[in-house]
Amino acid sequence: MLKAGSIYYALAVALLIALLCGSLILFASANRTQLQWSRRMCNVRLNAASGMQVLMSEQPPVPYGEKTVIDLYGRRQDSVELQRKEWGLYEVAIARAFSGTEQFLEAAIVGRLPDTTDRTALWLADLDRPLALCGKTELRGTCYLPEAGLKRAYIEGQSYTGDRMVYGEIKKSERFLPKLNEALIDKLQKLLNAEFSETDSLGDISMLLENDSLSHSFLKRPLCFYSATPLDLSGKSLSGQITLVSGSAITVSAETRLNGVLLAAPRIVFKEGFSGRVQAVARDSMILEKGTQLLYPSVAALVAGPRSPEQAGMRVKEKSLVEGTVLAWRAQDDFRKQAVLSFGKETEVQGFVYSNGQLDLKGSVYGQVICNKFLLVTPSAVYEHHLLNAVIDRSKLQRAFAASVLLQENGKKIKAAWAF
Amino acid sequence: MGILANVFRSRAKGSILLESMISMVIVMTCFGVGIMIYANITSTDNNRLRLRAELALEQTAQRVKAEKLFLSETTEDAPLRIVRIVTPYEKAPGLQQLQLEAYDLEGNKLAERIELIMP
Repeated sequence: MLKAGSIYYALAVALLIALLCGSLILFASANRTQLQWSRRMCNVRLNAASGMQVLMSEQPPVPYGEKTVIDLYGRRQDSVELQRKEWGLYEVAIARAFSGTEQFLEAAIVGRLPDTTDRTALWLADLDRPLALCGKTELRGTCYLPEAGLKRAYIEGQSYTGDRMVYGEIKKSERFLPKLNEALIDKLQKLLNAEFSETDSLGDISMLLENDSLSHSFLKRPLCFYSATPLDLSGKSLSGQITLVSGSAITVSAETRLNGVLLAAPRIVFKEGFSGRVQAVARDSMILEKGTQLLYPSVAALVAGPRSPEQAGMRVKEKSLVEGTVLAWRAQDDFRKQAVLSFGKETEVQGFVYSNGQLDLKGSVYGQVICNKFLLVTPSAVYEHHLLNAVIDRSKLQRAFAASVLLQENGKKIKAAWAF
Repeated sequence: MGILANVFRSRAKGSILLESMISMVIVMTCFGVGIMIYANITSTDNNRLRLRAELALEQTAQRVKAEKLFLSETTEDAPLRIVRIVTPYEKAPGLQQLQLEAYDLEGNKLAERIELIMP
């Protein structure tokens, strides 16, 4: 039997139960708060992804370079700030969703899925001459060829070894190449002339020269540097939305680290062993020395202007790799001046090659080649419209490969890489 | 005398009836409040059905995108009813708005998910 004063025992038990209930209430409250935060974050992330889809649509309601806030579903609780800006031959899309104090941000470098229906491997302009194949040349995919067609040839002691001339469909090409996006060419020429946009931040070149490492987020305004003198980037590590323009030349060595950077100069040299992600635009010449690797999504472009020398061209030396786009373009105002694009032995391109001049291809292109004329240079002679031991294979290009916006007719937008 | 006095002093103490009743009321009230709080916690936002509904919507969204099922329809996934509404998104041509709603057997909305997709 309880002793007298059992009310004290009852109060003690009540206190214990109250503590237990209090801790349960606290636990429930924390749990509910966490769950609500988690739901809000899920919603914000979903809205950021939806905002990115808006930017990836064909006609996003967002002008270039401006931040636009939209209410996604008209419920006044799905606000997303959208922004898109040009970055070399690609586009940067930024979607920031927010709700109260929570926010989530997605940023991506956006390209295009080109020519997904035809899956063209080769588009060669019809200059009333057949294309001659020699050695282990392999054309795989739909090929747009001159009406004169293809023929086997015997060069340097090598005759064509394939059992079929084209492993794919043959279609008739036209005299003129598919038109390039003229706005894109204008943009690259402006870049070469160091005509920066009003929204760019122009940095002092000494800042670049004094720092070994520089990183600039794609979420900020582009950071641009200009130098009238040659620039040697040996030992530099540059990452992000940085534009580097030289009025003379840029040299990139194996010790240079580049990630997403944009380079423009009359002459650009990538020294042997360089590896990185970069968009490089040259006016007079570009050289990728032996073993250079331009990783996806990279661009190597030669845009020759009226001031360029007669022999403006790009050389991709043996065992080099380009994952992205290779462009050699020159205004067709003088037929004697043609951009020359040459790929050495064992070179590899994963992506797209466009040349409105002469193309000397001795390596492999896993993707698409659009060119005006093939030129084969051997130690003993120079042959027009010949291919020796070259491979053009569209089937080996990944289906989700995002190309730059080169041609006027473009496919669906696709993320090439996440930006930071 | 001394012995008698000790006997009177060592008498066992007891509780009066009123004290015992108050004690019982206090303990019962505390238990009652505790049970109410427990019941409240188990029936709040994080109940299993609502979480299950959210997971079901997530799975449905993944399936719709993977299998490109861009059509409005209602499916039963006992004890849930999932309503899928696909409409063109007006602010950006080419996009579709995918709205998924989950209801319980009584028709109460448990969860909702809206996103934009590119077919």
